[in-house]
Formats: sequence, C-alpha cells, structure tokens
Amino acid sequence: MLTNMENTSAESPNRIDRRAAIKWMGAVVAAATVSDNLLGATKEPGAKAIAGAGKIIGTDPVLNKTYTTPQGMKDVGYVGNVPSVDFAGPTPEALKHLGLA
Amino acid sequence: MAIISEKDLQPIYDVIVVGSGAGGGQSAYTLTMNGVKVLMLEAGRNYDPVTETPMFQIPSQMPLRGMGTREKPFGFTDATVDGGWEVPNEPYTQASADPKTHFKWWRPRMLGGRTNHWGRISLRNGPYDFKPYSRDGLGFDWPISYEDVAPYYDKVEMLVGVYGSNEGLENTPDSPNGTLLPPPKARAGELFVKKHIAKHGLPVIPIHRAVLSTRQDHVNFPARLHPNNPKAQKIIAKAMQERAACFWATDCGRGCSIKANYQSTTVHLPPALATGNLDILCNAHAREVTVGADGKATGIIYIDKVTGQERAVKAKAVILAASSGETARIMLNSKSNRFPNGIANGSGLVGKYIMDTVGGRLGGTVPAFENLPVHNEEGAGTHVYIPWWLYKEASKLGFARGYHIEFGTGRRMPGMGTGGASPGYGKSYKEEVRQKYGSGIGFSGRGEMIPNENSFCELDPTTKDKWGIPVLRFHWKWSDHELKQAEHMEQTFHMIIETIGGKPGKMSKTKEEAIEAPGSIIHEVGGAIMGADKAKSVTNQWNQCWEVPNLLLNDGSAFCSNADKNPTLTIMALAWRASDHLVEEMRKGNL
Ligand SMILES: Cc1cc2nc3c(=O)[nH]c(=O)nc-3n(C[C@H](O)[C@H](O)[C@H](O)COP(=O)(O)OP(=O)(O)OC[C@H]3O[C@@H](n4cnc5c(N)ncnc54)[C@H](O)[C@@H]3O)c2cc1C
Ligand code: SF4
Repeated sequence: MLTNMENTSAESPNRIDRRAAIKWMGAVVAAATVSDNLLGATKEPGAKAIAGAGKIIGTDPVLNKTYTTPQGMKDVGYVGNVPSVDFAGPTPEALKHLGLA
Repeated sequence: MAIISEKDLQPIYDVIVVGSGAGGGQSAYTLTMNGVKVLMLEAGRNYDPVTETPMFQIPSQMPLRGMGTREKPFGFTDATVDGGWEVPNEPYTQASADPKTHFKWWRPRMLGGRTNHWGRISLRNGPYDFKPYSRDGLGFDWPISYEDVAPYYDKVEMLVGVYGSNEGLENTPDSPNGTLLPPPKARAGELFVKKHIAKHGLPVIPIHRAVLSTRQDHVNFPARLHPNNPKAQKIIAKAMQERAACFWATDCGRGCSIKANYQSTTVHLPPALATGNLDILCNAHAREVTVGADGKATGIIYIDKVTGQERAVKAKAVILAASSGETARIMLNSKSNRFPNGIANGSGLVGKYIMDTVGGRLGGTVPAFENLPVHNEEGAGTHVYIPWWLYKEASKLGFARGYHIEFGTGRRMPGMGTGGASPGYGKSYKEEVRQKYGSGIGFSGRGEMIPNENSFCELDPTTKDKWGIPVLRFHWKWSDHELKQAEHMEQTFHMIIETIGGKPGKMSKTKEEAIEAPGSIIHEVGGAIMGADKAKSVTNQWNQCWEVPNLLLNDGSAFCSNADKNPTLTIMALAWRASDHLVEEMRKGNL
C-alpha cells in the first residue's frame, strides 16, 4: 500500500522511497494486503517497508517472495507484462463486478 | 559531431550547455536545429535506453527481487544509474540539526538526467499560475503570462508526444486540436472512483503524460515545429518514425527501449546529434563559469571525472541546466573579481527561494475491488487524475493555492511482500491472496509551495566534494500554507476512500506529519528566479542573467513559483523559448 511506503533517506537507505508510490504504482498497488490492520503504520519511524509490500516487513529476515515468480503471478491472477497494441481497458465482466456496466 | 571524448573537443563552440536532462536536452535540440554549434557537458556517464532498459524483467529475475537499496532507491530496474539521494563523493549538507529543516536532494548523474525515470506527468501551468502574486498577494508574479508560453507548450507537446484530453476546466489549459495524443482508457478502479466522487464535485479526467499512445504525426508535426526550416523538419520527421507507440505492458520508470515515452536520451538528443551540430562530453562535471574582462561568460571549467583533471572549454554563450540546485551551486562557485559572490549574483538572490512540491498521501483497501475478474491493467502508469477543483473556494480554505490528486489502483505486477510479510500455507491462504490482490488504492497530492525567505541554499563554508568543489548547504521551512494544504489533502483522501466504501489507512496526527519531507517529491525549482526587476531577480523573462546576458539558466532554477502542475513541461517550454531568443540575439550580434 502507499501508506506502507517509507521514505528512503540518507539515514535509512534501505527503505524504498515513498516517492516511488506514484512512480511505481504498479508494484505498490498490486500488493493487495492480506491483513490490512497495518495500513498507515509505516509513519512510525523504524518500520521498514518494501515496494509492493502490503505489510510491514519489520526486521523479519524471511521475506515473502511467493508472488514474484511466474508461477506466483499466475496464481494471483496477474496477466500484465505482455505487449498489446491497445490498452483494452476493463472487461465487461470487471465493469459489471463494480456496478459500472 | 557526436558523443565525443576530450581529445575531440573543438577550440570554441557557439554555446556550451551544462546538463542533459529536460532543460539541457531541449536547449541543445532547439539550438542545433537552428544551426548553432553546441557542446553539451554531462557529469554522468553515457546512457542508452535502447540497449540498457530491462523492459520485461519480473522481480524473480532481479537482485533482491527488485527491492530498493542505497544505490537503487527506487528498486533494481529503475532507470537511474549512479544517482540518488546520495551520490558517492558528492555530499551536501544541512544548516541545522533539526530534521524538519532538512532538504533531501535527489541528484541524477547520467546522460538524460532525471528524464530517464521521471513520472512523465506533463501538465501545463494555467494563466493563474503565472500571476500568483496578483491573485493573492503571496510569492511573485512571473514576468511572462500564459499567452507567452502557450505556443511553446504546443511545440513541446508535439515534439515529445503527450497523451491527454481537453476538458475546458478552470486554469487547466486545453491544447490546440491535434496536439495531444489520445488518452488511454481509465482502469476499472479509476472509473469506480470517478462515479462515486462526482457528487462531491471532484472531477476525474485523463491525465497528460509524455507517452506515445499512438505514433506521432510525422507528416504534419515537423512543419508546425520548425516552419521555414526544411532541414530540421526532415530530421525530426525521421526521428519521430523511429519511435514506436506504447505497448501497454511495462514500467515507464525503467525507461523505454522502444522510445515510446519521453526521455531526453531517446527524444531530444538523437535528432540534435543528427544535425551534426552537437558534441556531447560525458563524465564532465562543470565547476564554474569563466568570465572575460567585459563581464561576459567565456566558457566552463570542468572536472573530467575519469582522470580527475581540470579542463577549460570556451563558447560564445553558456546555458546552465544542471538541475536547479546544481545550477545555483555552479553560479555560487563562479567567483571572480567582477562577481565576488558568484556569477550574476549582484542581487544576492542566487540560491534563494528554492521550492519543491507539497506532497501528501493516504492509502486504503477497497472491498469492492476484491475478486475483480482477471484482466490486464498494466501499461503507462497513471491514466487519470483529479485537477484542483476548489478555485472558487480559495478564501475559505485557510491556505493559499491548490493541489492535484494522482491515484493508483489495479492488478499490477506483484512484488516482494505481495501476500503479506511472510508466506502463508495452504489453499485458504492462496485464495485469500487471490481475493485481495488488486484491492489496494493509493492517493498522492501534489500541491503548490509558495517561495519563502527561509528555504534556500548556499555554499557550505567548509565541506567540499572529492574534487575540492564547495558543496551546497540547505535551509528549509514550510509556511502554514503548505502544512495546511497537506492536511487538507489527507482529509480529502480519507473522504474519497470512505465514499467508495474502502478502509482508509491511518491519518497523521499533525499537519507537520501529513506533509512529505522537503525535497522528496523531487520537483526542485527556484534558486535563481526570473522577474521584471533586476534588483529583485536573477534572470529576465528569457532566462538570461541580468548581469551576464550570454549566460542562460534553462532548468527549473528560474522558476519564481511552483504551481501544482509538475514542473518539467514548463521547464522544456521555457528552455525552447529562451533558446529561440538566444539564437535571435546571436544573429543580431547582441551578445
Ligand atoms: C522519480 C521522479 C519522478 C518525477 N516525475 C515527474 C513528473 O511526473 N512530472 C514532472 O513534471 N516532473 C517529474 N519529475 C521531475 C523531473 O524529473 C525534473 O523536473 C526534470 O528532469 C528536470 O530537468 P532538468 O534538466 O532541470 O534536470 P535533470 O533532468 O535532473 O538533468 C540535469 C542533468 O545535469 C547533470 N549535471 C548535474 N550537475 C552537473 C555539473 N556540475 N556538470 C555537468 N552536468 C551536471 C546531471 O547529471 C543531469 O543529467 C520527477 C523526478 C523524479 C526523480
Ligand atoms: S508502458 Fe509504454 S511508454 Fe511506458 S515503458 Fe512500457 S512501452 Fe514504454
């Protein structure tokens, strides 16, 4: 989530910059959270966040890379990163799902 | 002429351009298309997006799965090489220990500068944005109006290729018909937001971005760009045909190997080189502008970063476009008997009135987005935005000026941490991730900062970089206008997320907490403001230094306000305008 993006700074260089939030909206927003009770928590100093992370990673050495592989992407239903002539936009099913059809 | 090494330097050039980003790229383009012989000095290394861009890599193919590091703050595939918040051997300092006064300075060090990875959001300043002082008594009016710049906005939009639409909204200018490229469709979540917030009066419209949604009109644009200049028309027509249209798949922040988005290295420099009038010298760090007995600029002293040697090059005119902070630094370091406080700094205003954009943000999750039927939502970043909508309410808000809102939704490329901090187990875990993936939303506000006396840079009296060049020391203070604006942003985002049935993230406790750190939006401008009065400004309306008319400042340093419109399109429009004027002055023999 955007709210989980911490500033990279000279003092804490291992953090992803929150500026990336917009620039890298892709990775960021893709990461729907499993647990959303952590939203906004990165405003507390000391927490570490990762691009695309929906959660605070803290100092946990075990990072979740499940969904960074082709299989993981397939599992989650990610179908981007493939060239197409036009941006087709939302499908009729997606619009219907959101009450926009 | 080409990308050269030191031994190929000519004894004298018409113009030296320092920096190869948006301002330097546009200046070199305009000048060389008009037959002017240009040397471009770039502190960073040569960089070729066509061969160096990792277009389709997914995180599992990247070191650290693409995570940000000290060397790569925006992650492994970001286009930035050798740049960042910290640049080895090139420190900068803060005047006070209080973190609230610290300015974070993002510096690129590569051919093309920040244009290789910028967000490509390309908004025109509106008529109000050039006359802010006249409207509310704060800051400064520009010595030019929207009408002066509009023809150059048209040209830059045609040259670089900008998608967007004309909506006829207040202070959000339309472009002439046939100038913009068609905008991409809005994503599902974007349409959802649009539908539900209309009742609050917030318009969601196509954003303007420097991305080729279709190929450029290489038949008609060249004559509109370069009337009466057949050679230039031919060169740009060819260059336009070498650019492909966006294929809606990859992350523009990595750069674009098919030249579908704007970066100086794929759009400005190739045609400029094709004129035969441009030499580019990389790894050449400009230290100071040299001055002759007549007080005019005579050239540049630079450090060859590979050998550490100091060299001098000569020209009839000099353009600084090293990014606003670095331009101020070069000027302050250009001390002579005639200019003891730095070149063209008789007013004492070099380094003063530096600005960034006011940033605020809030994210949330939206249950309605869960289990969205699978479809592609990638391609060309932002598609829509919310322009500032409260011009009529200005007197009631408690702060001056406004902001626009950028937001993101969608089923974008998963990264580290997707699915929670650590992997779960079993079918239900996977199902939950599948359900929730793509249900996030993030809002960012981008607002106008008013220039103030307390936000400035100067030379640090003691700290020097590796080559012995004094570095910048920063001072910063927000005024209450910016702080209240950031607070207003957060409240608006909270309202929007609730309106769409989402769960907002945690709000800041204070307005000081709501505002992003100074410098972090990386829209640095100011430091050598333009004006109508030479006692109160550094340059005239042509980006020409009052005291040194053959020295031009063609990056954001001459900005005397920083509208919410993101600065780069305006940097390019003004660089084109200033370079046209320089060509004319040179022809007339006025320099
Ligand atoms: C992540 C990110 C996203 C952004 N998104 C947007 C956006 O969406 N819209 C927008 O309008 N703006 C955006 N910006 C800002 C935009 O990148 C800048 O406004 C723009 O690049 C400024 O152009 P410039 O020519 O002034 O400077 P730069 O592009 O920074 O180029 C300056 C060049 O000068 C070189 N240089 C520096 N010092 C010296 C020296 N002493 N000697 C020789 N060369 C030197 C540098 O190496 C660099 O190549 C973004 C910036 C970042 C970092
Ligand atoms: S999304 Fe389009 S413009 Fe952006 S990098 Fe990919 S192809 Fe290029």
